[in-house]
Amino acid sequence: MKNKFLPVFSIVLALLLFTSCSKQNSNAEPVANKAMQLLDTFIIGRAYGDNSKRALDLAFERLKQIDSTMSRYNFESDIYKINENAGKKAVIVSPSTYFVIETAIHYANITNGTFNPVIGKVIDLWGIGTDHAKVPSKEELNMLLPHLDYDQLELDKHNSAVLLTSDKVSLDLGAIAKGYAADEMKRILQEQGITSASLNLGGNVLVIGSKPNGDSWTIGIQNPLESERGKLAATIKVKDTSLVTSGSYERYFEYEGKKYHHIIDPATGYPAENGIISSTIITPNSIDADALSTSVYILGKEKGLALIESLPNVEAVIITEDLHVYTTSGVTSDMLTIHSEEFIYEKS
Amino acid sequence: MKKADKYILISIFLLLFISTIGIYGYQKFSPNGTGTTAVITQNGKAIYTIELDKVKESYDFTIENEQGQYNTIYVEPGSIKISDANCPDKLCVQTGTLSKINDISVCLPHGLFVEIKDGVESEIDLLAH
Repeated sequence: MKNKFLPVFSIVLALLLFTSCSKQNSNAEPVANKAMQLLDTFIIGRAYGDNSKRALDLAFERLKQIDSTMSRYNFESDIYKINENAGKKAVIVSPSTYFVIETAIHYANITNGTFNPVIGKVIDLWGIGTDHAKVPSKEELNMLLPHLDYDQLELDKHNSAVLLTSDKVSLDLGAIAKGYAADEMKRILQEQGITSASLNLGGNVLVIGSKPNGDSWTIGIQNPLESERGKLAATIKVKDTSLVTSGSYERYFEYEGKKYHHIIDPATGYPAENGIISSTIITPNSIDADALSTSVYILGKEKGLALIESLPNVEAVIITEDLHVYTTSGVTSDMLTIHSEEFIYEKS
Repeated sequence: MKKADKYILISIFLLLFISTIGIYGYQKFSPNGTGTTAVITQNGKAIYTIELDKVKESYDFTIENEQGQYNTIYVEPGSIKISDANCPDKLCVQTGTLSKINDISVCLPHGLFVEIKDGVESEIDLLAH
């Protein structure tokens, strides 16, 4: 009995030894990286797994499509056509464009117009982020502001058609298109079987699943007081979600000693000054995170936090100009770490 | 026979023990991110940071802009190079492999810089801004 048992036991042990070794070797999961300049920004994707390279290629193909249908400045784009035909006739658009406009109107509704998709002409007047940025005159703004009613966007679902009833406004999806693009890239990657990936669309972050080793992703939130990219205000640990930050430090110009940033409050026509210097939204769909980060930034802390608390599955991290960090109730202190002593964490 | 079995058993246990320690030691003490970092900038903006000492397997990726101008970056454990590009002069490709601090490869037509800097270990996976 004993004589038979020992050799068998030895062989089992030896096998265990070898399998554990070969497992170590296959531990390095294949990874693919891709980067491209699109949608007015720089887009970086990283995917893990066997099919990662092909999956990323397909995701970036989708990104190119979205870029060409939703850019305001591409003569062939749906948005360009809607603006060209403003006050004249409805334009038949792609299902993607229709969905993004529908979502934009939804956020305009729940924020009472603080999120405004027809603010294009006001944004053009400021030209922030271009080489002809300027502070517009009161007269110029007064010609545009009374007309900023987003009800002038008429949707016809049956025909997938969009009509802008007045040519005094223009459609701009800049505050939401990148979010949609991230969601679409995620859809393609998941269709291709990817279960671990990260996307960064010019500061809009989306992660699929967890890191290849099973850990949460650690996302840094830019310190809004530092112009140097990569200086952190905080880090937050997340899985399978999207995170979008809006900040006054991102795009701005200076005129006579004053900084003018790119998040325009449709109520005043001026860059929003409601006490927030950085607003981060965390929610699974990036299109929601994108629209809400702009909205919360403009709404200010009280109204912004109240709005986010009223929505299921959406969280926020807000930094105010007096350097306090506020969060919604779903952001716990073991997820969020403050990285700069300048900021005071007001635990929710 | 009994004696031989005993030896086999002992030697297998010993082997198992040593290899476990070996694997543990390798994971614990292998270099991770205290060395060199490659920073890729385009038109003055840092777009990519790669900790070269953390790279375990070689890979490449392409940086392409809206005009279809591209540079292919090839990353190896401890080094990096621009392996292909569609710029007219291809000086960046000719520069070859970068591995030492302050090594640099430039593609002026595409405004792209690849530079080796002192390793600063990144504590984050992604930056929201």
